[in-house]
Amino acid sequence: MKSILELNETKVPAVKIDPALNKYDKVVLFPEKLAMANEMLKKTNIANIIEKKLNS
Amino acid sequence: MILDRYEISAGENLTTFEFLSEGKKGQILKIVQFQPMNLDNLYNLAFGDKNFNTGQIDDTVVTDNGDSEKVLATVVSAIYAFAHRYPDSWIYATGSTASRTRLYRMGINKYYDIVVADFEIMGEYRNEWEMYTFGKDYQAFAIHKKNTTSET
Repeated sequence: MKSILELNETKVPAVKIDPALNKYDKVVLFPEKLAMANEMLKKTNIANIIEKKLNS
Repeated sequence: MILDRYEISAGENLTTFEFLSEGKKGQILKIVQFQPMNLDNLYNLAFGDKNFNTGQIDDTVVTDNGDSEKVLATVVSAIYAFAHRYPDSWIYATGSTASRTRLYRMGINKYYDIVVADFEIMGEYRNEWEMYTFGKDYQAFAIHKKNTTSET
């Protein structure tokens, strides 16, 4: 088993699980920014590109 | 190469992360959230400061805590953790201001070799998405962890 120090030397970090943060699962931070991001989906070609890449 | 970064905490689903920035203005709690968008497997990256007293979260405040590189490296580590848990995910990121988008772009360009080794990266330029070209002034970014990611 790797120690915390060893894990922190990897790109995928050791993450401390804090159940208090579960409350954000149903909360959207900055909803207006998410709305703008979803608008971007309608105006650009990204959806096609991602679907094509994930299906290839 | 592992960049200097802060320790991070997350909820059990690894969709919301927190860490403490420590700099010349003291301790500032940062929050990162990966939000599902209206396309399967695409997530918006939200990032801001959390006020200790009110719990309010602000993504426009200019913290100027003198640790912006370490903060950026920590956000990147959250991306690694999220992408490791959700390997099909694409992550969409743009700054809340033009200067913050520029900061992201500079971060990608500075560590370009590391980024492209582990992630597929696209940039949005004038409402068109394309494979990321080093140095181009993109307005937004979309990244996806490669299957061959080296995690050490």
